Amino acid sequence: MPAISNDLNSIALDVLKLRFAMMLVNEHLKKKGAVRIPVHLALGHEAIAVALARTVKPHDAIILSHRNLHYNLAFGAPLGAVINEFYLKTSGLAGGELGSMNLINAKAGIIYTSSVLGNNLPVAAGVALADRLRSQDTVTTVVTGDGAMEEGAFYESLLMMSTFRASAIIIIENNGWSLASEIAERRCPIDVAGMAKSTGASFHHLTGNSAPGYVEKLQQIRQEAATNCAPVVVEVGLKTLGDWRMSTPEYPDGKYINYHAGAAPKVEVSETLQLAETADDPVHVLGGLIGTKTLAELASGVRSRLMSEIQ
Amino acid sequence: MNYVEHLNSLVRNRASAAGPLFIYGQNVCSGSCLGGMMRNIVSSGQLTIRNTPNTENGLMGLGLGLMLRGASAIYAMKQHDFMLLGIDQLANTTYAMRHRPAEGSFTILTIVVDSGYEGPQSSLNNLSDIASIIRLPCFTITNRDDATAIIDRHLVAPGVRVIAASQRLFRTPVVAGPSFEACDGDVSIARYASGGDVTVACFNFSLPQGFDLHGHLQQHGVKSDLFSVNAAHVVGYGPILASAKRTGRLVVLDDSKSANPVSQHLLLAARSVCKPDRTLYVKRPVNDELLRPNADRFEVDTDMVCRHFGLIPVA
Repeated sequence: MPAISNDLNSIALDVLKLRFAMMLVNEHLKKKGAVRIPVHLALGHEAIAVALARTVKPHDAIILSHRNLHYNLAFGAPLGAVINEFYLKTSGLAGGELGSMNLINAKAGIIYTSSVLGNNLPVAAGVALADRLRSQDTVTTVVTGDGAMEEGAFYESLLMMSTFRASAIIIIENNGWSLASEIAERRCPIDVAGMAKSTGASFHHLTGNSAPGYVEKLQQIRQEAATNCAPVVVEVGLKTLGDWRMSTPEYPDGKYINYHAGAAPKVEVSETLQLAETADDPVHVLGGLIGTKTLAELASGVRSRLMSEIQ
Repeated sequence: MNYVEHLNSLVRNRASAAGPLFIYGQNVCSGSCLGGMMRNIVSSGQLTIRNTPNTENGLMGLGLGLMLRGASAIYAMKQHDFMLLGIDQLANTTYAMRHRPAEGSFTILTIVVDSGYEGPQSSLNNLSDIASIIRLPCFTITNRDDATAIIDRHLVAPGVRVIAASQRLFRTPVVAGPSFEACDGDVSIARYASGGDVTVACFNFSLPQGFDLHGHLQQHGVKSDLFSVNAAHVVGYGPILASAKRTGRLVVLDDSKSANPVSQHLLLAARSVCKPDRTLYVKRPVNDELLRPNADRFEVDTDMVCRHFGLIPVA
C-alpha cells in the first residue's frame, strides 16, 4: 500500500472529493429522480470518513450502516462504479446486487454494511473476535448513529467486545436526528461515556469537523484499541447538511425539514463546494486551515477530475 | 446410550477434528452444560469453548461476524425459541451475506423445547416457523443415524445452518431404524424402510411415531416405505414423491405446532402423484390448548391410518 500523505492539502482534496461526489449524486441521480433505490447522502460527514480511511491498517475490517456513501468513497470506490451500482448495473461496485444501503467493497476492507439499525454492531463484534482468535494485529471499526445506539444491540455488542477483549472502534455519528425526530423528541439523554465505561471500554468525543485533527485523533484511538485489546467508543458530533424549509399553508414561514435521505433540494454546487459558513461544514473548517483561495483552487481541480472520471 | 449422550459424543468427535473452532453460548461450559449437550467438551488444541453473556441477538450476530471473517463457530443454545431474539441477524444479516460464498462456518446447535411443561412462552415446538423466515438450512435430528450423518456433514462446513435436537427425546435411549439411507448429500431426507404398499413421511421430530406406524403395519403384512424429512426448510421431495407414485398412498406425520408447516410443501407437490383420498395428513391442530402446559404428546392412531386406506380388514 503506498504511503498516504497527511499534509493539509492532501486531506483537503479527499474531503472535497467526497463533497463533490455526493453533490453530483444529488444533482444527477436524486434531484432528477433517475434512480429508484434510496440514497442517504452524508454531506457534513466527510471529515470523519476521510480520517478513518487514513487511519486503518491493511486487513482492518470496516463495517458500516445504511448511510455509507461517504465511507465507500473515502475508501477509494470510483464514483462511476458507485453511480452504476445505484443504477443497479452489472458494472456497479457490487455488480448491481446490493444497491446503496448494503453497499460493501471487500477489497477496500468494507466487508459488511447494514440497513437495519444496530444490526451491524454484533457482526462487528464477531469479526473482531475472529481476528482476536487468530492473534491478528487488526482493529475492526463499526460505524453507527445516535439513533442506532438506542438499540439493545449497541449494549450487547459493547459487552461482547469487552468480554472477548476484541480490538474495535465504534464510531457513533451523532447528528442529533433519527429520521424526523430529534433526540429530545424521542428519548432521555444517554451518557455514552458512562455506558462505555460500564463495560470497561474507553470513550472519546470528537467535535469541530477538522479532518486533519480527526486523522491525528483516530490514529491515537486505533493504537489504543490495538494495544489494550478492547473496544473504544468514539462519538462524533456532526450535522447532516442539506436541511431546508418547506412552505405550507400551516407553515407559511417554512417548516424545517431535516435531511435524512433522497434529494437535498436546496443543495447547489458552489465554487468552493462549501454548504455552510459554520463549523458544521468540514469544507468551511478546511477553508479556515488552508485559506479560501487555496480551497477554491483545490475544489476546481476536484470538480474537473471527477467530471472527467464519470463522463 | 441415550439420545443426548450420543449427540454429545458426535459433537465432541467432530469438534476435535474440525481445526480451529470456537464454541460459545450461555452456560456451555458450566453447570449441566445445556442439559448435557455440551458436557465434556473442553477447550484444547484448536478448540475454544466459552461461556457468554446473555445477549442472544448479539450472539447470533457474533457468529455471523466470525463466519464472515472466515472462522468456524458453533453457538450452542439451550432453547430454540431463544432464536426469536436473534431473528434480525438470522434473517436480515444472512440475506445480505448470501451474494458471496462463505469461507467460514456458523452453526446454531439448539434444542427444540417440546417436553410440554415449560409454559406458554416455550410452546413454539418446531423449526418450520423459524426456517420459513430465515430461509436457511435447518435440520432436526431424531435418532442415532441421522444425528451421525447430519453432525458429520453440517456441524462444521462453509455457510450457516441450524441443527436442532428434541428435548422430549433427550433422556430416551437413542434409537435406530430398520435401516438408514440418506436420500441426498445434505441428509435432508432419509429412508428407514422400504415397502411397496404405503409411503410414510415424518416431519419435525415425528420419526418415533413413524417407526410405530411402520411396525403396526408390518404386523398386518403391510409394507411401508418410511422416510424422515430432517430439513425444516423447503427442499425437493423427489424420493418421497417417487415412492408415493409407486405405492399410491401417502401418509404425512408432523408433530410440529407450526401454523406454516414445511410438510405442506410435500402435500402440495404430492397432488400430482396421489389422489386426495389416498393422502392422509396427521398433524397437531394449532389452537390455544397448545399454549397451556401439557404432555405435548403426538399420538398417531395407527388403526385409523389403516382404515383410511383399507389396508387392514375391519373386524
